[in-house]
Amino acid sequence: MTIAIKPTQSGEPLFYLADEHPHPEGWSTSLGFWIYLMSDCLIFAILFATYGVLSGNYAAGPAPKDLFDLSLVAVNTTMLLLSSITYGFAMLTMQQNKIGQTQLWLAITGLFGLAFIGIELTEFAHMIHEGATPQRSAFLSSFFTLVATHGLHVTFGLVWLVTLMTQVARFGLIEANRRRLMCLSMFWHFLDVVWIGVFTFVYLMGMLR
Amino acid sequence: MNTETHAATADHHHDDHAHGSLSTYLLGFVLSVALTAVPFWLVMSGALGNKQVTALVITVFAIVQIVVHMIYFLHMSPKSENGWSMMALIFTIVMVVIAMSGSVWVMNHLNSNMMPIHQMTGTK
Amino acid sequence: MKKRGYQRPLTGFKPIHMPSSTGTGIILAGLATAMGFGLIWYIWWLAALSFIALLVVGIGHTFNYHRDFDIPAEDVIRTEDARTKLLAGAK
Repeated sequence: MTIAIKPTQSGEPLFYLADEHPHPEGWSTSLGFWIYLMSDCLIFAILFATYGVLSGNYAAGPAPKDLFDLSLVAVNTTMLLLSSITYGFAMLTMQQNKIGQTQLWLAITGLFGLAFIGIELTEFAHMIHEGATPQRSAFLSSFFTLVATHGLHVTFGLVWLVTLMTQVARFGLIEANRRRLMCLSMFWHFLDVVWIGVFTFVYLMGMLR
Repeated sequence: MNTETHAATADHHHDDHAHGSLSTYLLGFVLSVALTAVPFWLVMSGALGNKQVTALVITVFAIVQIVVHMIYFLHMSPKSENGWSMMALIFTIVMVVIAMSGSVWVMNHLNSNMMPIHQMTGTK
Repeated sequence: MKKRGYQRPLTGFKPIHMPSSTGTGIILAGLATAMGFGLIWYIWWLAALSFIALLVVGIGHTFNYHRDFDIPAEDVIRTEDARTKLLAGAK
């Protein structure tokens, strides 16, 4: 959009919008979605900061060493990492217009995501059963807030994944659906990036305390 | 986004958001597996002996792995979106560093300077 | 703009890109209000119900792929010509 100024007979300049040049639909979606992810990153940063401040306040309750099972966390990390690479395969097959394979890889990604959520919920249930509830200490409040916010993101990613699989099945790999799959790809990989922070600073550092 | 139709419309300034190939995805995956497995092994076996050294090393591993994910999975490059993605990322990193280090720094000082002394001796 | 010598363009009209009409926005706003009310006053069934409804309506809207349209250039020209005639008649 540019403003042109043209002199008129009276000498007064003439103002008008020279050309509002049209953009194809979705031309700015990937940048916009990236900025959304960055704002999401700030949410996690604040939750990490809160956890960093409160992670030593056990209130004479259980400490990370009493609660965390690193081998379970390792399995969980593997699930998320595998789901990341299978989503990558879905994007690659999407570019080759192989709709069946794209759907298959998306389904596998969903199953790994589901496994991740399942393991995380099992871990939470186990902790709560042992009396390590979010109300027990500041450490546990900040732990549950941080890790569950990540888990909630993954859950909504799964809802999104199922929605997109339905839409791909109904409307095919049309331009709009490709764009949506690309956004979910960024979202999914971003959640894996956040998980790197979680397993390093919450679980591994927690065991070092 | 179809690259052919895009080149035709001469409006490819946003399609330099690269897609990656099988080899870059696999390379990223192998690197991630290694960068995840080593910190887990370091902590679970206590191979380094010193806890502070271990913490420092796994932090470095985490940062490297985040960079690997950014490059191979999120396809970040200084050129994507005419550099605006990188701008947004740098701004976010600045914000994140200020928020996290600032919070931890301030709250630690509050803890050490304002905690009643008789409680301090027993707990910390 | 008139002070600066702005003149009505008489030619060179192009199609106008427009968003399609949708009621989703106001429906989501209503459901969000209901959910907020439910959360504040501990009316959990209302909060849960409106949250599910929010998801359903939000996801339902993504199945609508026809979100914009163009007013054809002929329509723009016709409307602007009528206006030009009206202005000419008024003088």
